[in-house]
Amino acid sequence: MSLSRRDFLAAAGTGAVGSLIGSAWGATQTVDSITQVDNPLKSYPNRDWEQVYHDIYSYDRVDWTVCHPNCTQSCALNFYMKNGVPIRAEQIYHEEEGSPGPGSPGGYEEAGVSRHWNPRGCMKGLTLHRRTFEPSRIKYPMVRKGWSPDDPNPEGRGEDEFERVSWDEAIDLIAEKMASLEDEKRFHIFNAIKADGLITRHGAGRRLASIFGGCEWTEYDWYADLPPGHVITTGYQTSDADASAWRAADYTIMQGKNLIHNKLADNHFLQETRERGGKMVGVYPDYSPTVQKCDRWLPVRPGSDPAFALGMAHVIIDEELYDEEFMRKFTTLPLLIRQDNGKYLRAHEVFPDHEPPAEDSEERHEENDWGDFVMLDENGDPVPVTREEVGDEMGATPQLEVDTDVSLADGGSVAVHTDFVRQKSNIMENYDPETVEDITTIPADALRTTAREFADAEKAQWFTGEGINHWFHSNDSLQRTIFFVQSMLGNIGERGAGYYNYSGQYKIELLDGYPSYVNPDGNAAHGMYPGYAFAFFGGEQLDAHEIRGDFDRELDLVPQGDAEEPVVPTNAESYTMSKPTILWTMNCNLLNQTKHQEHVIENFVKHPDTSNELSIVSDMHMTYSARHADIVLPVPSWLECDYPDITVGPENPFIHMDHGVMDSLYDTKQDGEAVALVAEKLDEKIPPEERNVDSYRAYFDKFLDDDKDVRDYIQQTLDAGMTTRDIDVEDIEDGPERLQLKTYPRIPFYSQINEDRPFYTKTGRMEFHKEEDRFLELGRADLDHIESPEGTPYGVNKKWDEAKDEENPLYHDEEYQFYFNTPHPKYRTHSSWGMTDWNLIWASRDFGSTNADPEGTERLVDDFSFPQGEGETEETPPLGEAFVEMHPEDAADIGVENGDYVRISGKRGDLVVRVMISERQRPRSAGDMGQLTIWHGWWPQHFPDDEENDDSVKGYNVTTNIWLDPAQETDDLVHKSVFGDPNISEEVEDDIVWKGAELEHGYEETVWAPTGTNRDDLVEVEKYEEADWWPGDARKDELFQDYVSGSLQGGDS
Amino acid sequence: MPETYNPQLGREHSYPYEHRDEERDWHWGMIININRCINCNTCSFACKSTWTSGKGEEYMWWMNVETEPYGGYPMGWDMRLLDDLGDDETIFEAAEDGEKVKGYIAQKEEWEYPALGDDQVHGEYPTGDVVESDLENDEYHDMWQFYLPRLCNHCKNPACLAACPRKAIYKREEDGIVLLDQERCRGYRKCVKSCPYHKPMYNPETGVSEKPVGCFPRIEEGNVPRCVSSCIGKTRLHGNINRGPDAGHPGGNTSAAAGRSPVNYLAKSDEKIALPLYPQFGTRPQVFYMPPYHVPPEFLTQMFTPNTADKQNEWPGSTFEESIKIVQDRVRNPSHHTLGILQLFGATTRLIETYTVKENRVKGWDRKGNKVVDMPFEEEMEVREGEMWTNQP
Repeated sequence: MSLSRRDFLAAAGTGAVGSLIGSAWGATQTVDSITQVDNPLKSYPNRDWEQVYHDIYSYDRVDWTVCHPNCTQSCALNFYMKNGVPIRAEQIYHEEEGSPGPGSPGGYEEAGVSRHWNPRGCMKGLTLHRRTFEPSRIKYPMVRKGWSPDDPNPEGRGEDEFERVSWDEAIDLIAEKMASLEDEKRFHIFNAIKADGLITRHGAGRRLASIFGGCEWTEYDWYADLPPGHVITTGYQTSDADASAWRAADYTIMQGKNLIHNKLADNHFLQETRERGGKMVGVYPDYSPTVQKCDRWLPVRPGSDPAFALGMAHVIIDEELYDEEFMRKFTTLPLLIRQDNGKYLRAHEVFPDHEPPAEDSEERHEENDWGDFVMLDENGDPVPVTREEVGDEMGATPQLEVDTDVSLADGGSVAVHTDFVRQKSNIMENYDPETVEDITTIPADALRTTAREFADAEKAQWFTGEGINHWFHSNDSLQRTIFFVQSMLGNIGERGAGYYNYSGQYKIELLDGYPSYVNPDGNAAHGMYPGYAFAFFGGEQLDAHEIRGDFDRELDLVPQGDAEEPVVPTNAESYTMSKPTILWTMNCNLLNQTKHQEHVIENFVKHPDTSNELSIVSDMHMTYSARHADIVLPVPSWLECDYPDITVGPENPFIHMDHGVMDSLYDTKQDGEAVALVAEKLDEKIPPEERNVDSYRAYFDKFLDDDKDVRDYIQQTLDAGMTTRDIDVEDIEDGPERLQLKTYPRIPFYSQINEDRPFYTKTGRMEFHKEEDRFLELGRADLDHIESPEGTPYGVNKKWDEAKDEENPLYHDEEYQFYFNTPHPKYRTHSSWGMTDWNLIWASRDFGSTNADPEGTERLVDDFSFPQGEGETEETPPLGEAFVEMHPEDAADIGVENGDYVRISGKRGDLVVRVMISERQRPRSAGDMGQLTIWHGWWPQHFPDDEENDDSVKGYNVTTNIWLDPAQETDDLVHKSVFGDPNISEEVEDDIVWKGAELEHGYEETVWAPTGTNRDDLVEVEKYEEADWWPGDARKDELFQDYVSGSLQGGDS
Repeated sequence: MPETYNPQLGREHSYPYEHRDEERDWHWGMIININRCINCNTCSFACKSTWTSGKGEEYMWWMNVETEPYGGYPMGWDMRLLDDLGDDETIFEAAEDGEKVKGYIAQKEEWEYPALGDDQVHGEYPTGDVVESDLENDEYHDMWQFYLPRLCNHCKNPACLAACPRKAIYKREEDGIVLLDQERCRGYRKCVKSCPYHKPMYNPETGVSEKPVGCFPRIEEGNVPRCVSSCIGKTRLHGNINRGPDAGHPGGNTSAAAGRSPVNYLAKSDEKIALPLYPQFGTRPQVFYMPPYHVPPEFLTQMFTPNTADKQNEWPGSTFEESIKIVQDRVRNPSHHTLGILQLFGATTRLIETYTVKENRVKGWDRKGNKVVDMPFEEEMEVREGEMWTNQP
C-alpha cells in the first residue's frame, strides 16, 4: 500500500480546482475577443471551429471483426481506423448507411434475423483496441531463467525472471521435450473455451494432442460451472434457448442468475418480457442487480435453493395445478419403480415373452440395451413401454398415481409405485411451504403466491446460473426439481417456456463438424480428468475422500489409485489419469480461476516432486498463469490476427468469423501457427516409425505452406457438420450467418415435445427418479434438499429433518462467519479486460479512479508494462483495486468502515482486501450467516500484500474448495453421446454423422464427469487495517436522508 | 432580464437571452427507458472512445450511468443543488448578484470516482419478508436502486450558455445542439459551475472547458448519437423533439408518414410517458426518461417533476406525485402504440423522423422520407421440416 496516494489525495482535496486555474488565466490575459456575439441562443457568427470535432470523429477506413471472449455471446464490431490504428469500435447494425461493415451485404440482416437483434456488443468490445495496446501485453517469446529441459526447477515458478528468446528457440525447446517423452499421454493441452478459436487458434492445440497421442483438458472440468442436473434429467448437456425466445414468456423466475450482468448483449430480450405483460420474480440471497427488474424478490439463504423449487412443487401438487397429459407423455412420472431396490421395473420382469436386455454390461450402451419399462394403463393393467413410445406414440394412457403390487413373470410379485407417487410423497411430507420457509427463509405465503402465479401463466421460464452451479447440491437437486416443476406445468419445448442455464462453455456443441477437425482420421486426444489433478498431482498426501468431504469412505469411487497406476473407469478407456509432463495452456488463465488456489500453486505448480516438467502458456497478457510458466508464447489480439477463425454462442443463432483489422504490435503468432511449427519440428526429431501418424506436419501444412489456405480447415469443418454444411467461408467472411437448427429461435427439446422424439435418457423421458447405483448409494436418487457439505451452519450433507438440529463443526464462531460469494463480473469476462484501463476503473467501483492513484494513467503505461524482458514489474494496481462487499451491520460489528482492509480467512487460505459497505449483501441478522461478495476475475495485483504472511497466494479464490461430487464420478449415466448422433442418425448422411468425440460411454468431458468442483465455503473476517485513502460516500452526506425520501426540495416536502 | 415561458414548469421565468420567435423545425431530443437499462455503461464507453480519450480528458465521462441513490458523477451533484434552491425556484431566479445562474463548483475529489455506488442499493434487507412491487395497490420496492444514464440535455434554456462571460457557448440554429467554441473559450469555467447536470468539464491540459457535442458530426449525417446507437439495452430513441402532430411528410415524400416524430409522441402526446430530469432547475432539458416503475414515487417526483405543491403544467394528474404514478403505470403497461414505438429503440443507426404503428408492424422514415425501419413486433417462429434437424446437435 502506498502512502503517497494518501498524501496526494489530501493535496488534491484542498487544492481542488484552484490548482488548475493558472494556465487558463494566463491565456485569457493575452487574447482579445474580436468576434462580436449578440445572442448565442439564436445564432453564432463563426462556426468554422466546429471542424475540430469533425476531425476527431473522422477516420480513414472501417474494418470489422468479432469480439468473442468467454461470455459466450460473440458480437460483430466495426473498428474505425486512422493511420492504421483502431480509434474506436461501434456495433454492427443491419446493413445501412452509417454502419459500413461488415462488407456487403452485411450486418445481421443476411443472417436472417430481424432488427430486434440490433445492436450487439458491450463496453468490453468497445475497449478491445485499448486492451490490445495495454501494457500487460506479452511482447515476445520468453523462457523462465530458472528452467532448463533437464532441471525444471519448479520452485522458481512465479518468481524467476524471464529472458527473451526467438520463436525458433521456443518452438525447438517445446518440440525437443515432446520428442523425449516416453509416453505421449504425458503431453497435455489445456484449452479453455474451445469454440472461440476453433480452427486456426487453440483448436489446433487439441488437433496436435490428438495426432500426437496426448491428452486434452478443458476449463469446464477445471473451473467447472456446468449444470449436471440437466444431464441427469434430460441426458443433454444443458438446455438453452436463443435469447429472442425469452421475450415470449408470461412469467420468469430468475434464481441465482445475474443475467443483467453476464449476458449483456442480448439481455434486452429479457427486459422486454415485462413491457409485454410478463412478470418477473427473483430468488437471490443478495439484492442482485437483476432484482431491480423483478416484480418480487424472494431473499433466500445461500445454498438452500433446492428447497425453494421443492416448495414450488409442493404447492403445485397440493393444489393440483399440474398438467397430467404432459407428465404422462414426456416424463418418467407414470413409470413403475420397484420399491425393493429402487430400479425401474422392466418389461421382461413382468411379461414372460418380452425380450430381456443384453447380459453383458460392457455392451449395454446401445439403444434399448437397458430393457423396456412398465406402466399401468387406465384399467390398472401393466403395459410395456419402450423408450421410443413417448408423446403421441404411446399406446396407453397410463396412471400417474400407482402404489401397488405387480405379479412378476417368475411367479413372484413386487411392490411398485410410479415415479410421481415417489416424488409426490416425499415432497408432500418434507417440503410444505412452512418447512421450506425454515430452510430458505422465504416466507411461506410469498412462496404460495409465486407458485400459483407461475402455474397460472401460459408460458413460464426459469433461469439458474453459474452462482448456483458452484453449490454442491444446487447444481444437481435444484436443477432436477426445476425440470420437475416445468414438466408438471408443460413448460418445455415452446417459445417463452423452459429451463435455462447459460453457464459453461458448451458453445462447441452447436458446431457438430468440429470433431472432424480436432480428431482427424480417428485420432482423438485422451480425455483428462483435471479435477483429480488437484488431489493426485498435489505434493501433499491428500486423501481423495478428504478432498471430497465427509462422505462414506467405503464408497467405491471410480478413479482410485495414484498417478502412476491410475484406475480407469469401465467403458472410459479414453480417459487417462496420467500426470502431465508437459502442460501447454492456451486461451485460459487457469491459475487465476482455479479454486483452492494456494494448494494448486504450492503443489500442482511449484512442488519439486509433483509438478510437471514444462509449463507453456500462450496468452495475450502477462497473466497470473503466464507468470508461473516456463515458456511464455505471445499471441495476437483478435484485432491483430493473421488468420480468421469461427465462433458460435449458446444464446444466439449466429456463426461468426473474425479476422484482424491491424498489423501486429509485437512478435506474436496465433496458436495455430505455433502448433504447426511444433509439428514441423516433431517430424524432424521423431523418426517415422515412432510417430503416432505418418507426419505431424501434414496436419498443419496449410499454416506452413505459402500456396495453401488455412480457411480450408474452416470450410472442411463447416462441411462436416449438420448445423453448418450449407455455409461457405465466403458467406461468413461477409458477415454472420445463422446456424441450421431445427427451429429459429432455438427452443430446447422442440422435437421431443412437438415431434415425439425421445429424450437422451434410458427411458426416453425426462427422468426424475434415477436408478443408477451411485445415486441410490448416495441417497440422491430422488428430488431432495441436502445441506452443503461445508457451507452451512446446520448438519452437513444431510437432508433437512436431520440437518436442522445439528450444527456444522466448522460453524464455530457465528459472530464472524460468512458465506463467500464470487459472482461473475460485469466489466470483465472472468479475468480478461482485468487490466484494461477504463474497465478497471469501473470494475473497481468506489475505488476506481484515474486520479486516485498518484500517477494515474502514467503509472499504467510506465510501471506496469511487465514484462520488460527481464521480468521486472511493479505490482501496484493502477487505477483501482479489489474489494469485498459487506453489509453495514456486519461491518460495524467488527469496527470496519467503507474502504478499510479486512482479512478473510477460510479453511484453505486467507486474503486481505478492502471493504465496500453494501446494503445489498445479506446480513447475519437475516437468520443464519452473512454473505461476503467479491466479484470474480480480479488479478492478484489488485489485492494488497498481507504483511504478516508475505508468501501467501493472493486472489479471490484462495479460500474456496475443490470438492468433487461423487455422484458425478460415475460412468453409467446414460446421456446423449451414448446414442451416437442424436436420435436422427438414419436421416443424416453417413459421412457427416458425428459419432461423438470417441468418448461415447460413461464419462464425457464437459458433459458428464465431475463438471463442478464446488465452492460452498465458510469464511471468517477480521479487521486488518484502516483505509489509507477512501472515496466519498453519498450516504454520509447530511443531505442524503432528505434526498432519498424525496423531501430535499419542492412543494411536497 | 427577459422572461421565457417554460412549459415543463407551466410558468414564465427569467432567462438571460431572448428566445427565437418561433421554435426550430428540428431540435435534438432523446428518450431513455430506464426500465430497460442494465447499467452496462456501453454508452459511456462509446462516448468516451469517440470524444474524450485525449490528454487532460482522463477523468471526463460526458456520458455516464449512475446507480441511484448512491451514485453521482460528480458526487452529490443533484443533492447539492436541490438543497440550494427554494421551492419553485429555478437556477436563473436563484442567481446571486453578479451571476447569471445559481450553481456550484464540484470539488476535484467529487469528480474522481465515475463508478461510485455502481449497482448498490438503498434500504433494509427484508429479513423474513419479500420486496415487492404492485402498482395497482400502490406498492413499490422498499429496497431499491435504479440506473440513471446521464448526459448533456441540450437544454432549451441552457445554463452553460447563459453563464458564459465570453458568449463562447451557443445553440445551433439547425438542430438546437449546444456547443462550446473551443477556440473562443478562455477557461473561466462559468459553464462548469452553472450547468446543473455538470456536463461541461474543464481540461487542465488545454486550459479550456469542453462540453458534450450531441454527436453533431453524426447528426449531420443522419445518424443517432453514439450513446444511442451503442445501447445494447435498447433503452434509447433519438430524434426531432420538435416535430409535432401537425408536421407534414418528411422531405415532402408522401410515401412516408406525416405527423409527429416518435420521440415527440413519447414526450409530448396525451400518452406522455417520458419526463425530463429535474425540470425544476428551469433549463428545459431535452432528454426525457421513462421512469422506473418499481421505485417509490416520492423520490421520482423530486427527480422528474417540478415537485411543487401547486401543479401548474399540463402533465397528467392533479399533483406531480400523481403524474409520476400515471406515467409509471404507462411504462409498466404500455399501450399497443407505445409498444410499437418501443420496437424502434435500437433498431437502426439512422435518425427516425416519422413512423407508423399498424397492427403488429412498425415502420420508420428518415428526414428525407426514406424508409429506414420496417419490422414486426415479434419475429416469426421458423421450423425446419425433416427429422435430420435438431436443436440439440
